[in-house]
Amino acid sequence: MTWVTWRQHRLEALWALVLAVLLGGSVGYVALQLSIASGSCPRTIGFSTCLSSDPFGQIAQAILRFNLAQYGLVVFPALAGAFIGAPFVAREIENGTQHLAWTQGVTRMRWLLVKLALVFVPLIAAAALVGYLEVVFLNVQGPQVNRWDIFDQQAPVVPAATFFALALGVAFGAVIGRSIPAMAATLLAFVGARIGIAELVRSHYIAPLMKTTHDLSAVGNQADPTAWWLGFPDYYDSTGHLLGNLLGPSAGQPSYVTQSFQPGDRFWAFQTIEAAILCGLALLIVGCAVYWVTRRAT
Amino acid sequence: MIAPIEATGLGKRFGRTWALDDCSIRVPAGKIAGLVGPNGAGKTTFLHLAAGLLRPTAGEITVFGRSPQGQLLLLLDRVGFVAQDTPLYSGFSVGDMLRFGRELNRRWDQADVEERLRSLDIPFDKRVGQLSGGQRSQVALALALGKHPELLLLDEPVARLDPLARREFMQRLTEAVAEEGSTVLLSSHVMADLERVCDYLIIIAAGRVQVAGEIEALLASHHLIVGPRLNANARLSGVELVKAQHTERQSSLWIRGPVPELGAGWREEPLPLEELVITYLSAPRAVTLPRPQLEEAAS
Amino acid sequence: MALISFHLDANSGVSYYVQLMQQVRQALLFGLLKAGDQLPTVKEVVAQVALNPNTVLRAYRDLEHEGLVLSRPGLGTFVASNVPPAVAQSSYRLLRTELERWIRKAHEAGLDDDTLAALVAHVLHARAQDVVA
Repeated sequence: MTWVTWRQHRLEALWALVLAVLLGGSVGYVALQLSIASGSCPRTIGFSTCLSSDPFGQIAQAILRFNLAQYGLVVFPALAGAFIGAPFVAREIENGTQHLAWTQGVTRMRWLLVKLALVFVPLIAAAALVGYLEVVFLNVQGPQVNRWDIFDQQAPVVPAATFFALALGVAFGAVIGRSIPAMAATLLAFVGARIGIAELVRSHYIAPLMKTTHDLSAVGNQADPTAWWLGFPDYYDSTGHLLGNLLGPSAGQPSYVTQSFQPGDRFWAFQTIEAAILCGLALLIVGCAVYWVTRRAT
Repeated sequence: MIAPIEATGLGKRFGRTWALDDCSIRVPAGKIAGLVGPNGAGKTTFLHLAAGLLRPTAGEITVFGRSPQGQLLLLLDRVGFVAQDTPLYSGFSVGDMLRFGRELNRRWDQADVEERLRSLDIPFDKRVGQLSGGQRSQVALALALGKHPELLLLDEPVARLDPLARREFMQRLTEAVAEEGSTVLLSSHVMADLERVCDYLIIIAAGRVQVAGEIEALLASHHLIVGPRLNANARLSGVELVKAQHTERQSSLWIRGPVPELGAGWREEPLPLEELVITYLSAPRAVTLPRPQLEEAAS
Repeated sequence: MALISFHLDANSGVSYYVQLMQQVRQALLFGLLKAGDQLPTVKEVVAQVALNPNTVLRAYRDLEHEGLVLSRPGLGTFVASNVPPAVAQSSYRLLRTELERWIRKAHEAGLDDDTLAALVAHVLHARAQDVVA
């Protein structure tokens, strides 16, 4: 099975490797340049003042300017799911080669599980590596860096999202039986799920804290960039009457302000919870795919 | 003697359509059985059920006495299958396809398969997608034969081949059978091939088995007699009427049974296999099946 | 290397195993096969004409019943030693020319092919009866 899996998926594996190397390479390179340039380089100041002006630094500046690595890390799991996960079983079915593959000397269960393991594991590992490099890149920027803004691009969420996307792809591919529709379904479902989780579910993993302060500038990213400030600040006047979210000439005299937030030290807990949710969903979906392939028959 | 294929009341439903309905067939060992019928009659469905690619909706099918669902691995070693349109991985080289067979099958005779393809001048480094139709079918056959199967299932393997490629395929197939003594079930529309190569015939029409029997016995027991127009109430005794056709002056009767005493004006016309098959296909209600096992045991 | 090869006619109305037997008899007649020669193996025959192996086996078995060949398990099928001698090519050619002449005469007399064939069968039958008697 090992050779067969390699022979069938070697082109995809190569593309994934190239992409991972490009992403990881650019993230790692910038991190390296930043750490060389100065001890700490807060994002609020701007990278150009930190990075040296020699050619190496200029390359790093160019990479940062186009933000490709950051987009790439969000897109990598989706691409994996659509271009590797979706055709995984779908291509066999639409070419009719499942009639060949499933009448050799291996059961369908073994055929699918071995192929899945051999292809998923390296992809998830590559995603984990690149996600880890992103964490390093953020670490280099000092303790005041805002990690929450780039939640989706760090390990362990990146490998978990990759696993989730691959699982979605394989399941859609097995059920739909055609690569292109399966790719489309996978992308839609993945993007929908990621946005849904990020916007609706993520903030509730642990009950947020509420900051109440008379110091009107003590809320928000300016005050504490390491925290995740939820929603908008609520301004109240001295009688406790809610004035609204914005300070403007028409508003009354704000006395104190409240805003809910997640403190910075909870970041890794949130990453772990989200990764666990994604992995759990992925395992469920893979289970469905295996069930479909072994019981469905042609 | 365990039959290579035995189906009892076999049925398969897709959605609301029954592709196969109450089929009971026994393919005897050592025979080359031909599976004939209109497109969509259920031939592919039957072959897929025998190969373990489909699960029956009703009834059961056993291969060498075992259910393809329950004991698939044991059967996969003994059954070779060539699907319709001979699916192969078009990006693979011929050598890759052989390696595929070697990796996925427990019992594999690499030397034999290589020799088989070499004698056909099929280069190992050529991509499967670049092979001619005839070469593809030979590679698919070689792959199926590589595990020295006791049962070979072939779904219209020569449908799209030119006459030479078809002949070459049949030559290699019969050669392999002569060597191994395997049982073959092969679906085809090419009556000329079936007549040369098959000794057992199964006709499936509209999901039901219409005919199953040794070809020689079928040919010996069926007759076409032609004579003056019979009136509608005429009855034949001692024979079974498969089909009747009348013109203004003449009646043609396809009968099964011993040739009756032919009266004046009646003569027998030859009834070759192709005509026999067409007769049944055009008379969907007629059924000719082997007598149940009990009777054979008693005699 | 097989000594002879077979050629089958799908449209002759004669079943394949009979055609095989006829061609073996022809080969014996013309001296292409002599006593002790090995007939092509079943595998060789089907590899060449794409026929059911059982058909070949049956032809060889029936030839054995007629005493023309002998099957030696594991070795093959061989022409029997007491096979009637071949007809020389020259006598065969002579007989054929005479037959063609006779057929022409029969046609001129107004006999069609079917009546001709029936006449031949009748005479052969009558001679066989005489032999028996």
